[in-house]
Amino acid sequence: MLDAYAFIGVFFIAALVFPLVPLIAAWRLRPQRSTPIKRDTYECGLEVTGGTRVQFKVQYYMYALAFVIFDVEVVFLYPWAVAYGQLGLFALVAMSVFIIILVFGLVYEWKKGALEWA
Amino acid sequence: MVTVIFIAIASLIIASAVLVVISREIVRAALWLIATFFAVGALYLLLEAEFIGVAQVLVYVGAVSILILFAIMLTRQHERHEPAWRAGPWWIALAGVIGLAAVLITTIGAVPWRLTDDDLPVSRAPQLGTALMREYLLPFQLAAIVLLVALIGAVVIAMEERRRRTPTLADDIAAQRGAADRAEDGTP
Amino acid sequence: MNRTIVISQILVIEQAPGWLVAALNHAIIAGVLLIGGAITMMLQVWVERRLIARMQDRLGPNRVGPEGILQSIADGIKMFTKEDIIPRAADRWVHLLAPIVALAPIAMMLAVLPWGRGLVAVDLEVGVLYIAAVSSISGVGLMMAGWGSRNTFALLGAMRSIAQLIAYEIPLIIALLGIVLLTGGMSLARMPELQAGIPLFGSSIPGAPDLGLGWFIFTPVGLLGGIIFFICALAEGERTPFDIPEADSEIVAGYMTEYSGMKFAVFYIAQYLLNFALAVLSAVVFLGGWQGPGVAWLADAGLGAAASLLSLLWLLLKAWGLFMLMVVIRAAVPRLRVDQLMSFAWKYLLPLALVNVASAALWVGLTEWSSIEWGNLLPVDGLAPWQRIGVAALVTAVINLGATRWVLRINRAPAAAPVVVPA
Repeated sequence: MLDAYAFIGVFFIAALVFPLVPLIAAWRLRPQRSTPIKRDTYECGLEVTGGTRVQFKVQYYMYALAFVIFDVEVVFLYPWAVAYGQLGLFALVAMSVFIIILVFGLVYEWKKGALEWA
Repeated sequence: MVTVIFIAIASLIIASAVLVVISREIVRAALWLIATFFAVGALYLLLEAEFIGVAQVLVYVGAVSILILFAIMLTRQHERHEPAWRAGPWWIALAGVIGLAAVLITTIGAVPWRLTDDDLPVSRAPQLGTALMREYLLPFQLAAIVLLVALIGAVVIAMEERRRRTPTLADDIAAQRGAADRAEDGTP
Repeated sequence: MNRTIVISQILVIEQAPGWLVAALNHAIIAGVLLIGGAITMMLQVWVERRLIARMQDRLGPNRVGPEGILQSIADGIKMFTKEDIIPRAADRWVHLLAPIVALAPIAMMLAVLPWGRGLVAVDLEVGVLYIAAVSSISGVGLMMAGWGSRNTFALLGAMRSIAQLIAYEIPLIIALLGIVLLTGGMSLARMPELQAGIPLFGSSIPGAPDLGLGWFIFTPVGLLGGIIFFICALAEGERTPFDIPEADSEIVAGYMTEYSGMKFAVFYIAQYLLNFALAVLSAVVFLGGWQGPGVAWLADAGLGAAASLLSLLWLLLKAWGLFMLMVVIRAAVPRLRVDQLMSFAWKYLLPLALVNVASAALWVGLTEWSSIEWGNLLPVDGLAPWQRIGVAALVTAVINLGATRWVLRINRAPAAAPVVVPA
């Protein structure tokens, strides 16, 4: 098993080098004539006023939280799915209970309007 | 060779964890925390716990990190700023850290670790699934309930937040558009 | 390892330590895959531009090389000469690292994909979950780009794209879960092997020829799962109609607003590589991967190398077909609104994907379990495998069709009293 992950480890380093090669090559090749105006923050040709202080909707956080919870659910589902062929009817019932509990959460969010983009 | 890789990963974890603490900017601290999560996943892989390692990356690097970053963006503090307060004299912090380290090191040293070269009985995904369905069925279902409570709690708090917010122009437009959509669908 | 010996002989480094030989061997394979990815990306850009042009009644790039095929190389050379502009306000390091964090995880997806019969770089036991985990990292890169640029458009674009990525990631992973149930394992290399035989029945009928067409897309579970997966793949790859994150008419270029030169190009490579990796993944999981008519025949005739070559061609054909489908969809469909985008993921795809998992679980029960595993509730032992598959296909088809109708019904806006809309 470690042999397979040795390949993944080498591939990880190769994947880091992959974007670095063109970035470093371009760094050596490209012209560098920076002016203060070039380095302004982009604002469709206008002067920039204020900072990037946008306060985002709480909705973003709601979606992220629902995402984390369903992600954790999926992590539980995968080992079950792999073992499922040998487990029999009991596994089907047990997992149905697990999913129904979480689907209840989804239904609650839905009915409360937490899934609306408003 | 495994030892060399272990030392490399462990020093990555420690370095990025230290950077989490000393970063002045909260988003940078969060990014270093993500790096820590990732390196911990690599450590699991080195322990041949591939399912846990991949799940660590999926849940912590892929999901929890996004939750943390979104939470920071919800505040108004995500721009560069100096800390508004100082946490008292540094030597108190240092004493606390040394004390905690002493407690941890003595505790870890006191545990009679059982070292083995055998495969662990429950480490691969099919065995994990079987164990979840047999020995750990009750904790497994309780985990579902904990997740449900977290979801409902978040909805309650967030909906409260949304109600308190003063309506903006965008909200008015959305409300009007919603009414118009309903009108279109409702007419026979 | 046979491969290792060959390479060490080529390089005449038999005295080198074993781990160095293994690492070099791994690095060569990784290099081949990544260079292949880079070439594929250039071809993708050209194909997309020509195809879009065709659909819009234009010619598209046709001057550089025959039919303009070298256009991407010209563009690449241009990118090397472009100045790198970092805004004064930006966080230099985060700004620099963001494209790397966005591209590297996507490149890592290439490691586990099975490219053909016997052409697998590495077969992980948790392959499917590895793909999901690795691809979710690149979202962090987008966030770094948005925040590191200190630009309102960039930050907005990053927030939007991540909200979209996470919304569509859940149905994507759950759609894959259905197939994991059918195959009983997360290994990607095994998936094409299990899709041999004839449509729907696979290899279950004795004496039927191995056409290499037992694709999961021909089963009800695989069909619904495949459709959900492909829609999610469009969203994950930020392709129209899911290109809100970089809606250029609204927020300039999203998280890429403050990027120029090679850093911008790296984001661009990441996007196309992700599209291609997802197309290959769709092909492997739902469209039989490298299976196709002729592969089994060549292998049985003892022509292993020819079979591998044909299988690679089949896989590339399917992947490029799916990529072209993505391009055609881009040309034909307008962009979704953000509220439509979100409710489509959470209210249509997620419930459907969950129902599909239930269907898959029933399918496995109906086709593989004995009566004892059914608790003696279902007398399934007397049926032949293909009869059981027929029953399972019927049951799951009814469930999936019913669920689709149901999801469409509950999402229809409630019939409210007619509201007079002011003219």
